[in-house]
Amino acid sequence: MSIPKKTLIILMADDDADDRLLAQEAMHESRVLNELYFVEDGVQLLRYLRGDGEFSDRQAYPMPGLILLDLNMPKMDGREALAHIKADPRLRRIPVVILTTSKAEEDMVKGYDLGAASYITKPVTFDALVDLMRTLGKYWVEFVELP
Amino acid sequence: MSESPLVDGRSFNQFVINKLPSSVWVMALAAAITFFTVSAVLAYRSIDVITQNNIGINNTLQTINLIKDLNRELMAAESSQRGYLLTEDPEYLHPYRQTLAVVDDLLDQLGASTAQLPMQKKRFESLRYYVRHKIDDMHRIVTLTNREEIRAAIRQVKTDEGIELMRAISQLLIEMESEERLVLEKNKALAAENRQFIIMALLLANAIGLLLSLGVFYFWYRNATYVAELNSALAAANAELEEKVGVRTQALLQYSEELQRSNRELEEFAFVASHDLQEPLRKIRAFGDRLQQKFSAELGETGSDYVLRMQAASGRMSALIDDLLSFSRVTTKQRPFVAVDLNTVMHSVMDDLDYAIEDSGAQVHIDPLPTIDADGSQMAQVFMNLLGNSLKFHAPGHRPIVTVTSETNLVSPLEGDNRTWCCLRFADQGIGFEAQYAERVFSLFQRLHGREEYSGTGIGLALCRKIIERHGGTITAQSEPGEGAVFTLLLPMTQTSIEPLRDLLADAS
Repeated sequence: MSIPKKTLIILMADDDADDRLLAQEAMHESRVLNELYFVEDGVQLLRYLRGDGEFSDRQAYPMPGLILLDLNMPKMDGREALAHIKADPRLRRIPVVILTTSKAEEDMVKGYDLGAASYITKPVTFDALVDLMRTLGKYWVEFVELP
Repeated sequence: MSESPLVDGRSFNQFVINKLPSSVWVMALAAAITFFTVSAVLAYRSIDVITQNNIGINNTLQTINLIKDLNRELMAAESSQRGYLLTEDPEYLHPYRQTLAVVDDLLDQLGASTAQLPMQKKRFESLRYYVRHKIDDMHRIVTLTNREEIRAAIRQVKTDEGIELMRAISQLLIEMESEERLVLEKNKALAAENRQFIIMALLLANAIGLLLSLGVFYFWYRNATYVAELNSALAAANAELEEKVGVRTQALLQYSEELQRSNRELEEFAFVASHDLQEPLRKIRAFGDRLQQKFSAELGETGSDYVLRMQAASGRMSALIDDLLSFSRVTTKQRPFVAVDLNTVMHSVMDDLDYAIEDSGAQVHIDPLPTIDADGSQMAQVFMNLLGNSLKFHAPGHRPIVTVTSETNLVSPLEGDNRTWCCLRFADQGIGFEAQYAERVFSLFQRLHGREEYSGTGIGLALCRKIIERHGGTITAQSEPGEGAVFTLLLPMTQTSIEPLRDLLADAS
């Protein structure tokens, strides 16, 4: 029996409330012990990561070990936010997994170009989403070394 | 509709000139040569006549001179002889002796030059007779004088024999001279006539020659002008044609650009629409799943059933939206035709279907396929659909058997089309369908089976037909229930493409 490492803090940026709810539920269903936090757009994401305003409370809003990033968000979309994150020396070590509805090849290419660790198209069924959460959890927690 | 500039205002005449066969030109040349030859001969003859005339006139003049000379000599001789008689001085005899020396020669000459005219000849005969006698007479007198027989000499003179002879001689000479003068006048008149005639003839000949030359030149000029006109009309027509072609090409390019723009807009619309339509569907399905999973107890059997049906419906809608997007992409994502080796396409499709083929234990036999002008990815879609169908609609309990055959270098079924065509046949031994549905299977979203029996939205064959028709070909189906199905694809092996359009399209995609 493997000793689980400390819980992975995952920060998910998605403007869609339903998607956030489903992600939450899927994470719960997957039985992976990770904590999932949410922001709604790119602006909020950066503020969270930089600890601006209400996010300065690191108890309530801990720094994530993994970011799940949707691409199409208002105010600042995922691509721009990603660029900012990777440009910021304090933030760029956090792995970013793009989780988006877009199947467009150019989005994928751009995503990897900007430094995303993975590009995943959102699963269609809930079960697949559960599966994804489980796999993500196991992979990023049990196998990957994070700084 | 304007008249062709070539025909406008042309008279029959000018057409005839243009159409003169070369034999006419040869005849004209022959006529000209003949004319000039005749002209030359005529000129030569004219000169000859003139020369003859001149000789004649000279002759007559000479004769007259001879006559005068003879007269003078005789007169001189006579007066010399008389003087000697009177003076007995031999000095007086000089002219007489001179005359004697030349008289024979003169007579001979005169004789020769009068030999032609019979009257003159007769006179000359008489003249010679009298001259002889006169000379004899004079000689007698001189001799007598020499011998100093003056009285005898005088007696001789007094006989008037000398004078009579002289008179006769004079008379003859006068007659002869006047005759010669007549002849002279006649000859002169003749010469004048000849000269007139020759001048007229030469003028006429030269005039004709000039006219001929002018005529030839005129016809040549008209011909040349006509040809020049034709050439300029041709050049104008060419320029006009080029302009029109340019305008058409412009219009074509513009149309092609508009088409491309329209396609791009359509694609954007289709993509966004399908994307935005899929998103709520996903939510429906996701929450439907949650409902089933978390609240199965509360739902009960009926409730769960409802949810399941709802899920299925959403799933179908999602598939339909995807298919519609694919269908629209046959146009919006079309690529220009290039030479495509269909064997390569088939291999890649077989790779994709590898799993399904293995799963069903299918046997697939593929003939070598030709290389044709086509859109490779679209042909892949066609092959995928046809093979997929054959795998799907296999006879239950039997392994699917699929055969693909090909025929090439066929004559085009279209009128006025010179391209070679090829025929591909996809045949299977599956469940088949009734012959009456052979056309219906190609309709969009048409299915011949219920959802429960076989999956699929019914777009596959409609997609195939759309793609094949875009390639300018046809696809037809033949089948009987339980006897499998044969899908026949007829395709042209080459596609015409307009160069500028092809480059434009290549740049855009």
